[in-house]
Amino acid sequence: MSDDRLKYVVDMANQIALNLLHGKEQQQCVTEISHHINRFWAPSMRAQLAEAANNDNYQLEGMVILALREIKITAEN
Amino acid sequence: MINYYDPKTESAASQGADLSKDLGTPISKSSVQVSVQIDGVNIVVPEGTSVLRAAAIADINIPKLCASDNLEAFGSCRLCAVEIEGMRGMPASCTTPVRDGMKVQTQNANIAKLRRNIMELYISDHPLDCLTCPANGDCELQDMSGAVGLREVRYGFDGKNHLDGATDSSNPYFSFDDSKCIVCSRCVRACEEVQGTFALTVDGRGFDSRISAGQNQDFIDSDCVSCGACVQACPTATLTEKSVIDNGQPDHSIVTTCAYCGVGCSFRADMQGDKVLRMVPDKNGLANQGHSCVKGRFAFGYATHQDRITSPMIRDNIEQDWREVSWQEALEFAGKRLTDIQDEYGRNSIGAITSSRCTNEETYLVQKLVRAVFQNNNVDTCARVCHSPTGYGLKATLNESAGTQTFESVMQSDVVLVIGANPTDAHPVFGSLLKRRLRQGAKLIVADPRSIDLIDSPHSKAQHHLKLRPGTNVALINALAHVIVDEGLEDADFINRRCDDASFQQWLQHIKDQRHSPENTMAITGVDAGELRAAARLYATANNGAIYYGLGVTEHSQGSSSVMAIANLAMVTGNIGREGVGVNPLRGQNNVQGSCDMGSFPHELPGYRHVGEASTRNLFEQEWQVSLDSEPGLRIPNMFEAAIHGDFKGLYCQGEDIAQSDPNTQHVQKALSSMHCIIVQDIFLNETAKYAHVFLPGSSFMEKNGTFTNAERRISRVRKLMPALAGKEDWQVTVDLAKALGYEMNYQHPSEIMDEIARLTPTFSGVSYQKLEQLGSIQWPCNDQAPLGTPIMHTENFVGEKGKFAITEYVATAEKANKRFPLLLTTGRILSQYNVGAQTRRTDNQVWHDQDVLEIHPNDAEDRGINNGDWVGIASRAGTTALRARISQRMQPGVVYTTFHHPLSGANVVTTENSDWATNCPEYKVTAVQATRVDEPSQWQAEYEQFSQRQAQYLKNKNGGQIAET
Ligand code: SF4
Ligand code: SF4
Ligand code: SF4
Ligand code: FES
Repeated sequence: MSDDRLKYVVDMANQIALNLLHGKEQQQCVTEISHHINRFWAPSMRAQLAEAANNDNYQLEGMVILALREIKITAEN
Repeated sequence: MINYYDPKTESAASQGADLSKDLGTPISKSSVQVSVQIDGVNIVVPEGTSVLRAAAIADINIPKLCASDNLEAFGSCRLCAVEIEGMRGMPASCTTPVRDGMKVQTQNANIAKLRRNIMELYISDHPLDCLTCPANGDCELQDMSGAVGLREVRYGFDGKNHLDGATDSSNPYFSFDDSKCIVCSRCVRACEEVQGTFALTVDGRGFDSRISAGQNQDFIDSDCVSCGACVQACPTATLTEKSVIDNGQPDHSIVTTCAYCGVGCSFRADMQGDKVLRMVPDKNGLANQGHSCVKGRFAFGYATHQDRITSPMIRDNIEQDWREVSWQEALEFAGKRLTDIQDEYGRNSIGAITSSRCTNEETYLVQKLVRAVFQNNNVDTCARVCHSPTGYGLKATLNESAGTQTFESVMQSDVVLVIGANPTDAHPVFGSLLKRRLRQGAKLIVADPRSIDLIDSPHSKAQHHLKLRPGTNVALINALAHVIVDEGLEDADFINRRCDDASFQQWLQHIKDQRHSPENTMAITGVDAGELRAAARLYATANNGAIYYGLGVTEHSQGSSSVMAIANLAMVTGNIGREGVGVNPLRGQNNVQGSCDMGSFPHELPGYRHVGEASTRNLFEQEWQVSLDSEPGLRIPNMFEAAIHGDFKGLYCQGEDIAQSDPNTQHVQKALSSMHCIIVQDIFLNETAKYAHVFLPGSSFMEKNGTFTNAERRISRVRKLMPALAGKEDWQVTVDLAKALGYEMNYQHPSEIMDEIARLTPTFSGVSYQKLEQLGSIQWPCNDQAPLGTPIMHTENFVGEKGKFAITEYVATAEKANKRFPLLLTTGRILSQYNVGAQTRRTDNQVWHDQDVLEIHPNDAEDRGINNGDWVGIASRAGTTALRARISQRMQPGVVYTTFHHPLSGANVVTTENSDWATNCPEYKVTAVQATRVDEPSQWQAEYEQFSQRQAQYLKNKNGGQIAET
């Protein structure tokens, strides 16, 4: 998996978090982020996000890391 | 007694009433009814109705020349003279309103004599070349001479006259023959009242008076925007379409829908055989009510342009000659390639893109092909790059992904807030309607980085121009909302009744914070706090406040937040759910609304239902007899990323030109070059087709049946005017491609596709071609609850729920001006060209805009030694292109602007891959750039020109190097 590809999903996830984290309790933010990613992202992109989370080269926003627990990661077909 | 019936009322119009008859003067909206007797016939009409109109309603046709029911009565020709009991003389019936109990006589010897005298005077100064006149058979002057029984002209033709008047042929589409003008001023009034441009005047007085464009200029050099309203209004041959002059009068007409912008104007295509002679805006069309713009009215010649490709073509790779083949061979080639790719790279390695230029039925079939046959959800649409944030933002707040009003609703607005839209250029017919309302006294607030025409129009000025910095919409709209709650201007009753309390309370806490105050956001937006407060008060205190927005809202990294912030603003002020208010996205292309409705997004089935909803999926699975993927597919930018990284290999692209319209062109080119099979279905070899392996010739809107859905959710018929040049309509091509992949779709006519959509989509369940024939058009939702459709949404509830306030924090875009790229580039559209220009570049509209230019503020130009017309290199972190400079005060210092209508301009070489956080809609409106004077086009432009020349040669060689016979 090339770096660019993971950076692409990391940047997108961080941008989602930056836009959703205001004026709410932490759990609501986490739910909204994970809900958004589950609802709109293809499984392949969610899998890449999970991969990036395990790679120290990428900086995921704290809320995204928390949201990962609620993001559906399925095997690609 | 004839009871007056108002053909413009919702019920009459929606019952398919024919508004074509010219009733002479406009409708009166008075609720007071008066009774009048005309030639012994009793008739009841609203107070304020003219005698001329009342008579016409009773089918008593009084001769007239200067009157028309889309113009205020003027009373200059006197032909409509009548006698009225108790009144002296013979008053003009067009300027005389009915009174209760009035008795009118329209015919007697005295009246007839007067009318003949009047006609005699007109004819004495009119050429008598009727038999060779282009208007022969379609001339009101001729008709009126006949109607009044003119038999002689006693004054002769030798006196002082206008018979040697010159002809102005400067406009590419119509000419002005002064010798035939009767100076009735209908053209002048049409330009003022209908179009709102005020380009024409009556010059001189009395007998010497004549019509003049601008300051005695030719039409082409005047302010005329070629809308055609004057041509339509002219009762003589003075203003006539050149196509009629060249070819004669039409022999039949077919009503259809404009294939350009999201206004969705209805047109009467006047035909000679299967040739379209002219397009005349249809008075029955509820979106446009008889008006048009230059594109729909005149720029239709592209449909039969010599560049049309009408045979299928294939090739193994993009540096090979095209090979013209049969439909069967092309479809088998495409089917095999797609199957091979899926076998090798997996089922998610292919996808499709639908187009807002295609019909509902066509986009529905493409998404069906992807979901049922490709067996994935990799389908997206060009709305991704324009209004996807509208779909997201309105669904999240108002519970429905659509605008709330009819266009006509603006005529009841008291304050109109236009954000990031330029209606006079991009939605011209709505722009004219809005200007009419503004001239009647409605107030206007414009939020736009540029000074758009609306701000200073003839006889109307914006009360506030909030000239914000690009990329700061959310801060600005939040500040408006802050003022409203800070100053107690919210509509508490509406919020209590109609909105979700928890979301409101949370939002209230958020928006009350001082960081959203105009004083604090001024540093972000650049908008004066006092001006912003005044604008907020004006909107919030209006009886009816309406918001109209466009791509200047959506095409940002916070496009979705801006849409939600707009919905918040409308809800907090109670401006939802009735005439004159609402949230109105001005959709770019003709069928943006429809293509989204039809399930073109990768996460949604038709009717905006998520692919993860098992019950919805089951419905489609049963109808289509397949099982469907429950996970969202890839969006367009995700497809490009996956292509570059080797996971996405095949694309079916119908009617969309992603190589030109999508941002960061070099990135797109890289993605397209990485794929193994690109199938382009289009009417021209567009920029994307230069990267394609299969070309399936498309059909223009004139060659097929179907429907478009405009920005008002109005579904209108597209009717076939001529046979498909390539032998197949676009929907048939998709059916055949499915068949080549082993899946049968069985439809005999697009109406059957609509029947399937209606069976599967609750908001469309009442829609059918039969009902469209009866009603003319239908605004969805149309179902058992609303069998005639829904002109205004959310009147009682927000689609079964409460409105939800969304927290929209301003988050600055990552795209910032800096030392290296100190200017912000924003992109947009102009009146004469449309989108990527593939259609309008192949018409005479080129005379107004034959190249894209860079608009730059005088200070920025001076700093860089740039003069008007110089080549300017525009560099961003994505790439470099060069355009000619136009120095313009419309810009604010630090902001430059261009359009993307010409492929070699490379406007999107400069735009970046930044996108909206929620939808990936590209941030076209903000790119940090540097502009410098250069001597020649950029390297990209030179290379792309060479590439295009090679591709043109490959096309020429499509028959083994022989030019194909046409
Ligand atoms: S150009 Fe036509 S509409 Fe205009 S004043 Fe002359 S006759 Fe009337
Ligand atoms: S074409 Fe339209 S803008 Fe031009 S003069 Fe006629 S009415 Fe006015
Ligand atoms: S381009 Fe738009 S405004 Fe112009 S005629 Fe077509 S639909 Fe109407
Ligand atoms: S039609 Fe009434 S004065 Fe001309």
